[in-house]
Amino acid sequence: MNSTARFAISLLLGVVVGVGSARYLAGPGNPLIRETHGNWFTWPSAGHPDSSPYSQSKYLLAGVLPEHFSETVTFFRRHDDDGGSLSAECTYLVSMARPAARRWTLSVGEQGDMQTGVLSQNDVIANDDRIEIRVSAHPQQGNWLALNGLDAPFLYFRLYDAETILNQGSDRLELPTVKQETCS
Amino acid sequence: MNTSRAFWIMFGILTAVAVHLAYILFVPASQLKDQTARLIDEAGANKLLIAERGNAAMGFAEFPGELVYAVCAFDLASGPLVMRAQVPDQYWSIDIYGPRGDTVYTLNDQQAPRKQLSIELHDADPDPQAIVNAANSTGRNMNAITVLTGTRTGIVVLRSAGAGPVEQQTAIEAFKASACSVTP
Repeated sequence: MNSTARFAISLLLGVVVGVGSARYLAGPGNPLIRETHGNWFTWPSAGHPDSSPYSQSKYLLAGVLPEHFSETVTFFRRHDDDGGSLSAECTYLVSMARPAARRWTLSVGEQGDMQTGVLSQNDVIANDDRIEIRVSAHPQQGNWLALNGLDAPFLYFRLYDAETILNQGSDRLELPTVKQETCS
Repeated sequence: MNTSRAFWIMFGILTAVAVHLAYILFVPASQLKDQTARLIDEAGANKLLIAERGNAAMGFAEFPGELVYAVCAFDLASGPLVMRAQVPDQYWSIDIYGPRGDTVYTLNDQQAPRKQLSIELHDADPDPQAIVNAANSTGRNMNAITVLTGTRTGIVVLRSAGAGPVEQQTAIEAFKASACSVTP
């Protein structure tokens, strides 16, 4: 192999590895910028003035500007409590204590795409301090979050007035459980 | 391993590192710049545009299902920007971002000193006499919040709760009563 061919192959491999590693580390799967709470994940540095270039890139490459870290914290998950991938063919029971946050929302959507369904605390009926919501493609009795037309749904749980919540310690935060009930 | 092969491997590694760093440092900022240019093409600089499906402001919306957004790309070349905002009786926030997506200033409805407020954006510490002159001029609010952006260009993003029709309508009315303008 002559020098020109070696140069071309080394350059090509360098560009592919450089771009690939940058896209991976600026993506949602980067374990360095992602924090785990059971099956929920969050990006604690989102909207933080000291966030790393990778954390900042994750948002800018998606074309969005993250809200300041003191305003909201977003948790997301792709799996139920038993580790199965969320599916539009199944019904899930989401159960949680009434969040102490000023405002909260539970929504479904596909990663990098718009949410297709959203419930806020104003939409939910609860008799006591526990809230139960069924997430399903089919109408459900009680609190229902529609899960329609999604191939690989994600569940998002957002808390507002995040600074107060995070000051209490995110490890003390009780996040919703997600149990699969039935599948069609 | 012969010297030639070691050289080309090292060349590939250094290329990968250089490409990786260049990608992380420049591509996301370039993407934000393009997106800002599209917003300016559509709405003009220093104009507030409410995000609606298909318009350039919607591109900045991370959670359009639960928040209503309005975006203003600013350029302080011809003078300070005055952001007049009406704060609704629901979750609302304003974030000011620099050209690389870094947060310069944030305020929410609970921190806002009043329901109607003005925020003046200066790219550098303004001449005190200029502030007095501005306050004395017709239509200017002496109690405006002054923000030193440290940058001539950037983006203002207004967000308000919009998880249902009532919240959405409240948010849109508040945004319609808000405005971005430059005051030479």
